[in-house]
Amino acid sequence: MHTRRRYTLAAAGLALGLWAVPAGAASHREAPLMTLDPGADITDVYAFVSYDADNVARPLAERRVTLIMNAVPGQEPGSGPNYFAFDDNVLYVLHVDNNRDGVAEDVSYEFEFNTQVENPDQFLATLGGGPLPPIDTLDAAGLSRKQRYTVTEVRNCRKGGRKCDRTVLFGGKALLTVPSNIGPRTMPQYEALAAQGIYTDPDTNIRVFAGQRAETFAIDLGAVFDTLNLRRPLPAQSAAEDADDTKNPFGFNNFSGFNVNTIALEVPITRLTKDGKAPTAETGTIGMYASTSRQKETVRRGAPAINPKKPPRELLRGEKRFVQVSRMANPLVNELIIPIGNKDLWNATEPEDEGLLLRFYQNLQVADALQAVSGVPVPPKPRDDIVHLLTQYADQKVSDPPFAELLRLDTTVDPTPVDKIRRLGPFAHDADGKATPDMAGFPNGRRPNDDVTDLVVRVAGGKNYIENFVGDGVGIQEKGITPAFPFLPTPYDGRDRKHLDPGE
Amino acid sequence: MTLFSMPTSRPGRALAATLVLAGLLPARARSAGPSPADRAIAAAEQKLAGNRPDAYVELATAFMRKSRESADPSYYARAAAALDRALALDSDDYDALRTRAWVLLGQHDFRAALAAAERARGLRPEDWWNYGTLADACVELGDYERAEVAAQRMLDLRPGLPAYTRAAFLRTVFGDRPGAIELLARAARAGSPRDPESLAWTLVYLGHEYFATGKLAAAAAAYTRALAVLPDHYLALGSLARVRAAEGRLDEAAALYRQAVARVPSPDLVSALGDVHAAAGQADEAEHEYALVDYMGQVAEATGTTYGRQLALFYADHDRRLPDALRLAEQEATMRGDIYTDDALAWALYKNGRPAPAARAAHRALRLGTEDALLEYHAGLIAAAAHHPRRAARHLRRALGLNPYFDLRQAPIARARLAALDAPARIVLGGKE
Amino acid sequence: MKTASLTLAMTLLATVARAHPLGNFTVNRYAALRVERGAIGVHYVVDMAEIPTFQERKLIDANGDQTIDAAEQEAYVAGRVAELARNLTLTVDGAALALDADAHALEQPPGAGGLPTLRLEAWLSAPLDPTRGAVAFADRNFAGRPGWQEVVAEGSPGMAVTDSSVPRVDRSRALRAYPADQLQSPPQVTEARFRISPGATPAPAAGSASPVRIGAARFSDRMTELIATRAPLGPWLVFTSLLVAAALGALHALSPGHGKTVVGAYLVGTRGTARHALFLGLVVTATHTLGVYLLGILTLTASAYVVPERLFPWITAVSGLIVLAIGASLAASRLQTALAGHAGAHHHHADNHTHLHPQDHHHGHDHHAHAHLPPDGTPAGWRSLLALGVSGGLLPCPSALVVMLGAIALGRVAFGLLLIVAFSAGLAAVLTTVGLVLVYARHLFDRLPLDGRLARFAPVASALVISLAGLVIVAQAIAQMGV
Repeated sequence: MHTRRRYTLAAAGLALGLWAVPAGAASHREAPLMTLDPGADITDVYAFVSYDADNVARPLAERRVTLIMNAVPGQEPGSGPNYFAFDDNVLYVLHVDNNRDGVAEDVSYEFEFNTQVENPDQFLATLGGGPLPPIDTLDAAGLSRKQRYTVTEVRNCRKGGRKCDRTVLFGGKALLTVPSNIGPRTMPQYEALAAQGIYTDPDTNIRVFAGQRAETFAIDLGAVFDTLNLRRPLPAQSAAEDADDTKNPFGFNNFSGFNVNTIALEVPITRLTKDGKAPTAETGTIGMYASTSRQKETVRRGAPAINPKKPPRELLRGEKRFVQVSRMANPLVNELIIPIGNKDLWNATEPEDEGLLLRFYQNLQVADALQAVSGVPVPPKPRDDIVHLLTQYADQKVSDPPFAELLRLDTTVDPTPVDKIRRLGPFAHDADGKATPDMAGFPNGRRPNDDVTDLVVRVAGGKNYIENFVGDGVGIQEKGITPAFPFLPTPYDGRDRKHLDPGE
Repeated sequence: MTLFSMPTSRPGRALAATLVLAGLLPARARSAGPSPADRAIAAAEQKLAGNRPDAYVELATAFMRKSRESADPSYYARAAAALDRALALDSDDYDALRTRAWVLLGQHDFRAALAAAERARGLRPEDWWNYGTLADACVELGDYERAEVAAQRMLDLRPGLPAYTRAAFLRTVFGDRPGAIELLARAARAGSPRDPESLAWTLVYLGHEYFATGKLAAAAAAYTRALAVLPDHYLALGSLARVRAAEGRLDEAAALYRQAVARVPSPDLVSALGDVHAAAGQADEAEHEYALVDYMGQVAEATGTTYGRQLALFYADHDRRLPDALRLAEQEATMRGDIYTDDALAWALYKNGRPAPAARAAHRALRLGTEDALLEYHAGLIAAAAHHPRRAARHLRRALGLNPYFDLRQAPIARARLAALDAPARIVLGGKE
Repeated sequence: MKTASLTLAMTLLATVARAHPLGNFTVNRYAALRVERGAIGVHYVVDMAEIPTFQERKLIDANGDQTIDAAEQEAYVAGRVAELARNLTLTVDGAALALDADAHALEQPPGAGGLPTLRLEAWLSAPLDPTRGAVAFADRNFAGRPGWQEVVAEGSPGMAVTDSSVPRVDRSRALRAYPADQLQSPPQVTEARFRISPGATPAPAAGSASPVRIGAARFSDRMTELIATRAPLGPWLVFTSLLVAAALGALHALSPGHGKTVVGAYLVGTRGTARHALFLGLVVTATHTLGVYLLGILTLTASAYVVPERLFPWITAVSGLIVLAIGASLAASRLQTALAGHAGAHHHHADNHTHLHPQDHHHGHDHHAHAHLPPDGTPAGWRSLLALGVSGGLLPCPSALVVMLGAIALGRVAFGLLLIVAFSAGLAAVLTTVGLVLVYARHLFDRLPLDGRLARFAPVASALVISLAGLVIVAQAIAQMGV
């Protein structure tokens, strides 16, 4: 017996006009409303005193700091034929606050990309290997699509940002983005190819890299976001397990095998301090964040912006105006602290306005979730400790503004050499539970291999969670620590990539 | 004592890990596995047990994605049902309210969509989403000024693919196709392989803009790119077929149209296939397709649904059931006020022998200065019937100048009529000399 | 106005017209696989809505005369089925199986406005040599066409289907009845994978002969359904749910166990009154509820260290030991009394009374209406009753525990807890009833002239029964631990 349903005209005629009408207008009303904007999607931000052997050996005054932003997330390495690139229409900026006023516009670095298709007749964007010459230089003929970029250092902004001192670094030379790692036939010496993408400016000692790298963020994403359904019923680890930075005790790394696009910049610390001198206790702590912005458009070309009763935050770049689309400083703030309904708004605001959102930090819902799921009590609200950790400088009193969501790095702390780096940073301990802190790790800045998931969970959970070494059971990924700039590992190649499933 | 076993899976233990991972992978060539929308539906269904509004909103959103992917409009009703449930649980749930506007747009209830969008915007004026639904509703109702304001706000709040595509459309209707193309290229750049349907849609739209200015090769390239992103995308197939037909490659065009129709038999695709047959001299096959479109109209009537102006245009274009053409066009005009509805009404009026009201409607259709060959063509024939030959010739010349391939069946008619209109002048001049 | 009347007309028409439930241009597909010894059968159905039916008619009307006769129809079906079968792939461990059409059928049920839809059915089969392996099925017909796409697979008495990616039972009755619930999205499944092996497909739940047992075993399913219902928790729903829970508890109590024997035996052997029986019932309810709650809390907080499966046998053992202890002590004291002989009607008071002078017992012989019965030695002591009640309710029903944890996981904590209370009450009600019945039955017995040593030792016997019951419980517990 059929179950029939009736349609009545009153119930609104069915939309059978979905299709674009060849005879006329496109079905613009069916224009997409969901927005994934990978080119503008910042996944991670890192800030640390470079820990390559050379920098460890340098005296404080000559040390360098590396700032990194990752974008274009979740890159499945085998995604031919287009692979991954930065978005030419997005402005990528690293911002630094060096005078502790919470406004990270004292020094900024702007990255702008431009792609040229050199050989439009080439049917594949990248052609090389086999009978053809392999791709072994960044400007190889086989790379028909080349993305170049410029780096501009911005200081001393005044007149509401309309006037700044801008210096184009690297002598205005157009730098080349390192392309995606397609595979061993096309790019047989990928690491050598990628190394060509590290540019050094001999005058300023600034180094830069932009291109594909492997994802170092390790998290049991499925378990964490399945309402903390971690793979051990009580996700506590023993001191010995937790102290072991070579094994993941029980979780599974959902990001295994994925790549990401990286912008890495290494600058001498003196370039960032407010007096331009070697960092001191006074001047050595900087705050930073990364942002992506898109240029402001008008519906009618050439028209002035209509009816901006309350123009949203703009980034001014000379006469061009930009709208901030995404920002990031501390890890997991947007994911775990800011509620869903406020994420877009958060992305469009400035870090120094975080004071408007303090209630989310104070009410730390993720701590409630931890307690609900595990039954182990968390510290009582309001969580001023979280507010202080994420939005204030160390010497600020809890109730005193400014509140700025920035990643803060104390550049006077010596970088930990690679063989001594501990994923838990200041919370590191030995197999007996005795504290053996590595002070150069998150929350003092952030290094690519810091286990921020465990750290955030423990900080959120408080004493009980710290003592029981609670975590998602995933702290490391298979590529380990990269000992040299850009401090992120070679990307997985498109042909041979492997994602490890739970239990493998 | 009763023996038992502890449940091995707690209620709520979702397939989150697999699904999250799946969400990170871009869609590949069409495989028989679940599509991104199917996965989204499955993920949302897992959460329904909690009986919370946001789970139903997520389900509604997944249904909307499915409707776009499959072109199956029954998913609009499902999305509406899911939102009803969410609102029954919490009549002030913001996400449900803002999504409701979107669903109403899909169901073509534009006035209700406008009200829903305004309500949501009143609750959260800083949410860019509401400006999208507002712009869409305003466009359909013919309020282009307001649509522009909404689209601008959307651009100010969240530039990206959704804002760019809407602004692009407005640039087109305001007569700036190159500007539209610029924004669409930007939108395509901002698209993600993890949402292939949106990206493919944008590329198809870009192709339309090229086609509308007679740039067949560029249009074909855009449609081909769309097919690379989402193989078997029916919009791309149909659009590419149109280019092939314009290029005179009728066999290829027929094959592509058939492929598209096999996926989604819509009146304009079937009608276009019929036109291709007719252009190739295959009258029987053409008639078969036209009969199918007739039948679709019959079915629609029987179910109380409507194909809107698609059917009106088909009848008018093919001189079939002209009274029905007018009826449908008038009906559409009560629900929408955009320029293309005005144009369909004008064409239907003209074909029904009423050039005066047709001229008024055609004038309304061109009120924004849109550079559209079809609008100009209709206006031209209407002007001729209203005894304004010079105006008619102007319109026809513009039409052919904008896009000489604007319609497989109508373009030759336009050329013939223009020639006829120009001919008397030559005779007169020739005579004088 | 023209438009208005048109609208009205269409609305009227619409109320009469009915559309294909899934949309006018859908092509809905269904495949049911059945694995038997030596063959796999595929029941394949295609349900075309009005528009594709129209398109299909061109194929049916082979001679193009706008009419379809029986011959054309037959030819069409045979050909079409063959074509559809070619797009079905069936493999066992990668080796393809050839599907042959055994039978086919064609119907044209009316759809919108009486316009025809099309239902094409085919019964196909392929010979199956191996009895074990991995089977894969795929349907490539009408790929990309919107519609209901469902695949199910089942075994048969001789062949089992396991690890199946598709369910056993379909949701559409082979495309004849689509569910009306808008919130259920149509399946979009065109493939199936499963393993086959000889033997019967394992039953989904442990079967049991006793219908009461089955009822109890499915208790947790039904209870979970109550909690997992998507309907909002209105008062009526809550009320009926509590009733159902109580009923289920009562049913559960009827299944073997829960100390009915113990309670009954105890109340028979003592001078239990209705009040005692009721008190017992209350204690059981309270203990059972508390037991479930405690165990639930324990499970939630300490589940890494304490796995409830391991706990249950221990609790059972403890409960059994308490019962055994009570029974043994009762047996001992009653034995003493019984052996002490008829020394007295005087000794019908508590055994800790010393011998009293006959002069003290002139309350009258009305108390001794049942003096034929030897003194039972121990009236129903409240303490013993308490202990018994506790032991009876101590063992929380595992299914109740499941339900409570499930409720917590679903966020319906209060509702879950209430259900447990209702359940415990139902359970207790049965026990109380048993107790009451036995109390009043004993009154009946009392009137019977029972004499002799048999009667004298009856209380001892009842105490022994209690001890035996306790022993059995402990033994079962040990058996479980060993498992």
